[in-house]
Amino acid sequence: MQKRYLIRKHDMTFIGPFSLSRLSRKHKQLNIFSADEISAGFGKWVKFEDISRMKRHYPELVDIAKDLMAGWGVTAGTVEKIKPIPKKNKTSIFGGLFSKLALLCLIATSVGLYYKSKKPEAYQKILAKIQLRSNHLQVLKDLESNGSVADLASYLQAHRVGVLKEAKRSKSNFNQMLKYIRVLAFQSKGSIDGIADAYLTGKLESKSLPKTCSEKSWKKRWKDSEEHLKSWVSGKQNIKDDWAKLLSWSPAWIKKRTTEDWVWPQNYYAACVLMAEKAYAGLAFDSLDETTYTMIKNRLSFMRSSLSNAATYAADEASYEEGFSYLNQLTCLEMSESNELMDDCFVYNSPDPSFDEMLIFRKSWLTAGVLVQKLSNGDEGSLEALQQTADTIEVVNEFIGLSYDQEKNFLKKVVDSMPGDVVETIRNELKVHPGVEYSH
Amino acid sequence: MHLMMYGDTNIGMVRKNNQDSIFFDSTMGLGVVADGIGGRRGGEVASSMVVNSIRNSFLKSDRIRHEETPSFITSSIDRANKEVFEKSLEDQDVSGMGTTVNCLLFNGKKVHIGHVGDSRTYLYDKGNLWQLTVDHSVHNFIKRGLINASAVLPGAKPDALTRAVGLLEEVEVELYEIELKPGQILLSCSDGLSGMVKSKRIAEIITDSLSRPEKMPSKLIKEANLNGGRDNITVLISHLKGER
Repeated sequence: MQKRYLIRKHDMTFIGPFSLSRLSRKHKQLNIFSADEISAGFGKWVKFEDISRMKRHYPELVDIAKDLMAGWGVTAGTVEKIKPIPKKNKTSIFGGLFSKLALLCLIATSVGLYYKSKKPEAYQKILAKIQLRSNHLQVLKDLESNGSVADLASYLQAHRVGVLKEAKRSKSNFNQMLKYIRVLAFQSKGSIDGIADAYLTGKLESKSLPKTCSEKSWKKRWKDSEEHLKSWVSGKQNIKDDWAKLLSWSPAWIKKRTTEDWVWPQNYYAACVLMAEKAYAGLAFDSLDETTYTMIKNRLSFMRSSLSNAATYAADEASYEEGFSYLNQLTCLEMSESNELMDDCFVYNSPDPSFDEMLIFRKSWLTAGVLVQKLSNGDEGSLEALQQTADTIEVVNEFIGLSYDQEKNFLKKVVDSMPGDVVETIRNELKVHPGVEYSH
Repeated sequence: MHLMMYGDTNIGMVRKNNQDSIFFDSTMGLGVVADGIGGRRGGEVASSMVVNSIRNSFLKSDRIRHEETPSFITSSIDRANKEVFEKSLEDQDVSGMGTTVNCLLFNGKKVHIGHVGDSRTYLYDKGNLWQLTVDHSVHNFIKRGLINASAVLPGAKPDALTRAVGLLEEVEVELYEIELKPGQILLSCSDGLSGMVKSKRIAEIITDSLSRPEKMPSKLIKEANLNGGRDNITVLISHLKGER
């Protein structure tokens, strides 16, 4: 079936349908205005002047739209994103590592020479101890300070036994090396033999978090819930299990959370997403339908890629005949860079209204983020909207379990600063809480 | 070339009464679909009042010229709105009642559509389906810049209606105009169909029934019921029979 396009003019008359080739040849003769809309069969209506939506829904028409708009003129103005706060400059690996090793060598040489001359047996023992202590922890610290997670991970893999042995040598070692042990753990199966999961988890911010995120625990969760997956994804029955909560987590929210004592993944939430995806990919389900399987797979992949700022999502790959898919609509919201694109995401209502509430909850926080961005760019028209939002927005949804208390405090401070210098307040708050960025 | 129309309405699988109403007459070139809102009897009364009012307006009028069609539709719906609104004030049993409406009036190949609410009219052509009418819902109005997002409570459902016949003293009717070609089909329906059956499936059913268009309403209603039938379902099919 050939794709065909119908044009709805601003006066609510219609012309078409046309094939793409006819439209390409004749578009200038059709007396189209910028506010006119176009739709392919089953597709969204997109205004010719809305290039961002045109790119999203009908990339094959972008050139035609731009060609038409070249004659109309374009409304100026784009929203600048908040620039990320630059990290501190790091010293080079060579500068940091070599200088410390050089000093160590000097000390060792001096001590060694003394002991060698006076107490040869002691010399041997001290030399061995110095070699052990400086072997892993220091190297790991240097690798971390250089910002290369890949190098850090490679080192940990290569020296796994030695690193763990060194960590277990003393409580002090263990506490200092715990963040590296987490890297080791979540590179593989999310657990380390001989180290309790509670250490890998760390201090939990919320009771709604899973107590363990090992690959094994996730495999069990997915298998045990197999018969509930479809009814949840299709919005028929809500559930407060760990897997359902995780699938509802916002990658943007995760990225803003504490990273203290975590190098990689950035926090426990991120670690859970990785292990949930890994476990899911390795499972064979007995009776799960292909559509539901693909939707969950895509959602997990989107969450994981989002956390590394490389979000991808194949929304059209799987959908239900009956319409509502919670995960498709949720991810659509999270991928939208504007309120207009978010509005495109509401296609069907959920059979169970609590799913609508979860989507509305997410949308309200994403909308708040858009308003903050606009304000920080000096758009005072967003002041009143932000004030209303701050008064009414909810902090937590019972099914998702994550608390937006930090974001709410941020909004409150911004609103309390009104009618003063709101832009300055936002900038100051971002300096204090650099993680609280409202980028999508 | 002559106009053919087929329609049906069904209570669905869940509701206790049918608040949808339908009227069509191919010789008149008039088709009306209405989906009532309001508790107890209210929706049923509102939708049937609107359908009857528009039909009576047509029967009382002289022959309507093409250029008069838009104003006829608007004034008919406007009259119906006043009737429903006044009735809702007089009778407590139907207080707050209202209805959506899609009113189609054919004049030769051209059809004008008067639209209020979230009942829809689609165009079917060669396996493709386009939704012609814009739902008068919260999220559509925000998207089109007709209301400010800040004016809407954060908990408001995206599909809540922003316009309906009978709720206020006056109603704004949205008018569409399209020239229909033979082989093309107009489908007007309440959200009992559009909310339960995906567009692609609707198009498939129409494609499969092209040789027997009189079967389309029942097949579409059946599909909606198979998917749960959570609401009343009303379907009106209009097409021109002749050489393309």
